[in-house]
Order: sequence, then structure tokens, then C-alpha cells
Amino acid sequence: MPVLEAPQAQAQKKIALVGNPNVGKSLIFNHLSGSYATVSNYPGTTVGVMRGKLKVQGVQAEVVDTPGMYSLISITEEERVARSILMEGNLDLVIHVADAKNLDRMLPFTLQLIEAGFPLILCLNMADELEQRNLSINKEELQKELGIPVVLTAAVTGKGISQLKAEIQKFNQEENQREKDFFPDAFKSVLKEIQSNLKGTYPIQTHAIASLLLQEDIEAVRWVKENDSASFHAIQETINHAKTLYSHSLQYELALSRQKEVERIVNNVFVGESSKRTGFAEKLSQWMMQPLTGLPILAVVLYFGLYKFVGVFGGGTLVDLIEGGLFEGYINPFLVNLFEKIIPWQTFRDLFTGEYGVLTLGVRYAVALVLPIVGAFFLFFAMIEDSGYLPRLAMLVDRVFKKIGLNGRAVIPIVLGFGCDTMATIVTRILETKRERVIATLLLALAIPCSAQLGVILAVLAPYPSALLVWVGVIALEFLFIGYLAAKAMPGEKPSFYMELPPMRFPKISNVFLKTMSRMEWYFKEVFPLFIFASVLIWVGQVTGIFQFLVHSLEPVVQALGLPKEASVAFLFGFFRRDYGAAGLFDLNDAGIMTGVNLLVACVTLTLFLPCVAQFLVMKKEHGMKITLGISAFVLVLALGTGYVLNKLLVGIGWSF
Amino acid sequence: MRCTLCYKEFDEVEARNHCSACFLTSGCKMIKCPNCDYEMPVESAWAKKVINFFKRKKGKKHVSH
Ligand SMILES: Nc1nc2c(ncn2[C@@H]2O[C@H](COP(=O)(O)OP(=O)(O)OP(=O)(O)O)[C@@H](O)[C@H]2O)c(=O)[nH]1
Ligand SMILES: [Mg+2]
Ligand SMILES: [Zn+2]
Repeated sequence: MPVLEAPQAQAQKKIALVGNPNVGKSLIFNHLSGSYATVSNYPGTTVGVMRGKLKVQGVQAEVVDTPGMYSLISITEEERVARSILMEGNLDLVIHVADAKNLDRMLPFTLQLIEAGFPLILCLNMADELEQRNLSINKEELQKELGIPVVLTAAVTGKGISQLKAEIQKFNQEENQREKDFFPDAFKSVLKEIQSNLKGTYPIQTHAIASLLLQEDIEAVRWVKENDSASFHAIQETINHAKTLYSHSLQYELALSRQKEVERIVNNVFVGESSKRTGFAEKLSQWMMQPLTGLPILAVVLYFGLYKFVGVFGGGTLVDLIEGGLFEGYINPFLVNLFEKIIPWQTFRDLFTGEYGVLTLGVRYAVALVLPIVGAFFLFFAMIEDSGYLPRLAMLVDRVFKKIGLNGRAVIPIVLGFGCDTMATIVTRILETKRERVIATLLLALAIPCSAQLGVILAVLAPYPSALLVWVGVIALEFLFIGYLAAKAMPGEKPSFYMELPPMRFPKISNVFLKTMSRMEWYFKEVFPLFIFASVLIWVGQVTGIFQFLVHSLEPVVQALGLPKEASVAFLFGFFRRDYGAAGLFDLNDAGIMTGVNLLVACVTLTLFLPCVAQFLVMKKEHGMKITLGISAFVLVLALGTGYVLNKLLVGIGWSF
Repeated sequence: MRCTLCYKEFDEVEARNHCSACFLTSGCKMIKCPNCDYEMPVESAWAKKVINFFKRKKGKKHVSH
């Protein structure tokens, strides 16, 4: 199709579409240019830059679709790509595409773009979803507040696209150059001072450069070094002085003040639910993230959620009911009887109903001990996830870590992921040198049990609250240690852990159900076969005498930890999986041969063990047998060593629970 | 599906590609958010069916009212 040439030949103009990931930039791009950029419901779809010819009558321009970016301060590679377009593109028009229903999370970037002096149109996309939620935005008011044109669109249906095109035409005719900023008064004098020292030429307004400098943007610093080398020192002084005026980083202070401004605007233009966001939920959300209030909140959540619900109710009441009542009372006697009738050979019968039989041990552990505990744990976890507490917890941990000089960014996703393959992926992705990779693997092997394992270990300790506290303390120490080493091993330059916060809300039953069941299903698929397999293996070991030999040779080790020698069986299980070992401890505790100190020492040791056989295999694949054996040996020695010291310490001071 | 940590919607197939570096992917029942690296289990198919069943039932009631 021939493109309509404008009557008089104009210079080609340049228009860029920018905005958060997954807001519909590419879809808008397709509407505007008639070309096709990949659209998918997945943030980060556009990684490169798409260019097309603008299909708007009377305007000769090239449109550029960019990867998503959250703010002018870029963190990821894709964001840098998008930003370089903004900074070097000599753009005639920037269209900020935003998600209309999340106006409050979109506007900070709009303000940044306005401050930077870009000729801007704000395109509030997903207007259809806005309508569905009975929300609306007062467009005229917003235009007045921002001083730029605002268009509401629904790119999927094409609604509003013609208005967008009309605004582009209007823009083409007018000369648009505004000076507006939303800086809080407190910063204005500092910014002015910096600005007065910026004499060179820059791609964006100098007060925006000044603001980027305050936020320690690396690229801005480089520009200023190049363009204003003479006054660079003076500028540095100004910034350093400004830093002393605030307790937080300037980046944070600026973001905070911008957020306040956004809240004011949103309250003004948003009609519907979101306008009363400064209510209790918002306050609670803030408290959760501030160390001073957040840590006590966390303690309360852990006390009721983990200790009371998972430990006491799941590990106590439910296990008693299912294990003590159902299995010991009915199922096991029935099975033992049954198998006595159908299998006359004792050895063979033991495979199923012996002391470590597939049914009496494998199935019983899986169904009667682990299921109630893990079920309760997953239920608790699903509520945490669905309420929106989890990301706030991440922010809290990050802040606490940062306060004590650790790199939260490296550890938090791993910690919160509680995943199994985390290690392999994280390690291969982030780190460059072999040394770093090995260290990271070691850290993960040591530190991160999957969530279910943690749940079971915790339930074992629940009857002894003070022992539980000590365990928490030891693990917390371990964490800090890991964080410290991780900071050393993963010196990523990603300083800030930025996350958009979902709203706080009351957990929905259907979501909680789905999450809990998904986790249970995952766990059972993974663990049940292993429990059965372990029972079979033990049986083979018993028949051949290897099992007795192993148990026997572990006895001195176990006794060195101050534990009764019967505990060596549980430790042997622990080599398979930490939770299998913990279930063994549960049994021993039921039998009444473990003291509180014993349990604590055993749990700490188990927590530090390699998580499971699978992890061992992953390590072997990643690093080869030699390193894997090395790491395993190290972890083992460290785990036993910690247990040994802890026992000596507790016995030494005469502690009992 | 939606990530439970960062709340971003993502495509499960894409997310799988994301962790192709890990050799456990073929049997792995965990899925990793491409945006924030948080790991969560793949959504259980039968549990989804149960929820849909109840939702439909509720929906019908609404219609009949
Ligand atoms: N309901 C609704 N969905 C939309 C609208 N615009 C886009 N979408 C959907 O949102 C998703 C993201 O669209 P994209 O155009 O790929 O978004 P993008 O901003 O280019 O995303 P990245 O390239 O990943 O940064 C797709 O599933 C679109 O179908 C809209 O106006 N309404
Ligand atoms: Mg795109
Ligand atoms: Zn995520």
C-alpha cells in the first residue's frame, strides 16, 4: 500500500513509545504503524527495538517500540535499551503508554518524563479493564495536573486509537516545549545549584540531569564528567552535602516525594476504589516494610502462622489424629494382619510391613506425618502469598540486609523461592567465574531447604518453644553469614531491589485452595516415590546387612552430638532428604527417647545438611563429581560441627527445655 | 499465570524457556517467574477444575435468581 506523502516534504520526525512492561506498547505500535511487533501477555516480550512508519495523515514520522522500563533510572539490560532511545533519539514526541487501572504505579514515570522535558503524550491504555472494574479517570483534570495531553485507549478493541492519532496530529502542528517539574521544595535549591553548574549541552533538560545526578545515575555522571568537567567537582560537593541532610538515600527520598505527589494527583482524578488507597491497608503495608515495625509484625505472623498453626495444630493435633489414631489404631494392625496371611516369608513380608516397610514406614511417613504438617504449612504459605504480604516481606528483608551492609538482591529471590532448582539456574545465570559459582552453590546447598522441609523440621521442634527459638536464632545467624558471603561472591551492581507492590487484600478462598493444592501436588509427586524408594532400599540394605552396618557406623557420630544412638537411623534418612530425616526424628520423639536439647541439636544439624539427593545430582551435573564431593563433605562437616558445638554449649551451660 | 510475588502476569511456556539452563527442567514441577525469579509450583490441573466447577455453579445460581 502506498504511503500518503504529505504535500510539502518535511523532515522525518521521530516518535517513541515507552512505558512499563506489559502495558500494551507493542499493540499500540501496531495500531500506529500498521506493522507487526510481537504482542504477548508476558512482560519483557519486546527485547529489541521495533521501528515502523507512522500511519497518521499529515505526519511524516518514524515510530519506535521499546522494551518495557519502569523508570528513567535503568536497572536491566532491556531498560537500558529503552533508555538509550530516549536519551539519544532526538525525539519529537514521546508517548508514555501506561496501564490505566494502575495509574498510581504508572504516574511516577510520567512525572520523570515530564521533568526530563520530553514532548509527551500520556496514553492510558487498558481502558476496557478500567471500565470492567467500575473505575474511571477524570481525563481533563489529569491533563490540567500534568500539563500534557492525555488519551484513554483500549488497544485490544482499538478504542481511543483515533483520539491518540488526533493528538499526534495536533502535536505535529504546535511547538511543544514546557518547563514543569514536580520536585518537592526541599530539593529545589539543591537542584538549582547543580543546574547552575551545568553549562554543556545535554539530551534532556538540565534540571532532569540534576535530578539524575542526585539519584546517582551512572550515565548522567558520565555525561557531566564529559560535558562539564570543570564544574564536576563543585557539583559533587553539592550532592555530598545534600546527602548529609537526609537519613535515606536521595534516590529513595526523591521517589518518596514523587509518590506523595502522585497520590495527590490520583486522589484528584481517580473515581472509584483506588481513590481511598491511603486507608488502613496502605498504612499496614508501610509498617510491614519498615524494619522497626516490620520485624515485630513478622514475629507475630511467624508465631501464629508457623508455630501455632503449623507446629502445634498441624504437627501436634493433626498428626496425633491421623498417625496416632488412624494409622496406629486401625490401618497398621490391619495391614500387618493381612500380610501375615498372604505372605508367609518373614523377610519378604518385612518389605511391606516390617519396621521399615514400604507401608508401615514409607506410606506412613508420607501420609500420616508429612501430609498434615506440610498441608498446614502450605495453607499458611498460600495465605501469605495471596494477601500480598510476601513482596512486602521481600522489601523488609532487603532493607534489613542493606542496613547491615549485605546485598539483599542476591539472596531474597532465592530465600523466598524456597525452590529446588533455584540453585542451578541462579548459579549459571548470575555468576561469571567458576570460583563464584562454586561458592554460590555451596551457600545454597547449605542454606535453602525447600519450604516443605522447613515446615517438617519446624513441626518437630514445636513442642519445645524455647528450643524452637534457639533454632530460629541459629538459622538466622546462618542466614546473615550466607548473606555476607553471598555479597562477597555475587557482587552484582544491582543496588536496589525494586518491586511493584500488589495491593494488600484479604486472601481469596479459591486462590488459597489452588495454591495449597498445587504445592501439595508438587510435593507429593516429588516426595512420595522417594519415600517408597527409600523403604525398598532400606529393606535391601537390611537383607544384605549394609543398613545395619551404616546405622552402626553412624552411631559414634550421633553420640558425639550427644544424641541417643537410635538417632543414627534418622540421620541416615536425612541423607536422602532433610524432611525424611525430620520425620524420623518425629518418630523418635514419640518414642520418648529424645530430650529437648537432643531434638534441637538434631534439627539444627539436619537443617544444615544437603537438602536432598536431587540437589546432589544437580551439583554433580553443574560442577562435576570432585567439586560436588568437596562441597558435600564441607557441608557435612559444617553441619555436624555446628551440632557438636551447639550440644556442648547447651550442656555446658546446663540448659534444658 | 500470575506470579505470587511480584504479581506480574506471565506465560508458562515462556517461563519454561527462561530456565532452560537448568537440566532439571524436563521433570521439574516448579516454575520460575521471569520477572523476579520467584519460584512457585505449576498450578494443579484438578484443583483448577474444582474451582471452575464451583464458580460455574455459583454463576448458574446467579442466573436463576
Ligand atoms: N484488556 C486489554 N488488554 C490489553 C490492552 N492492550 C494490550 N493488552 C494486552 O496486554 C498484553 C501485553 O501487550 P503488549 O503489547 O505485548 O505489551 P508491551 O507493553 O509491548 O509489553 P513488553 O513488550 O513486554 O514490554 C497482551 O496480552 C495484550 O493483548 C488493552 O487495551 N486492554
Ligand atoms: Mg512489547
Ligand atoms: Zn514474579
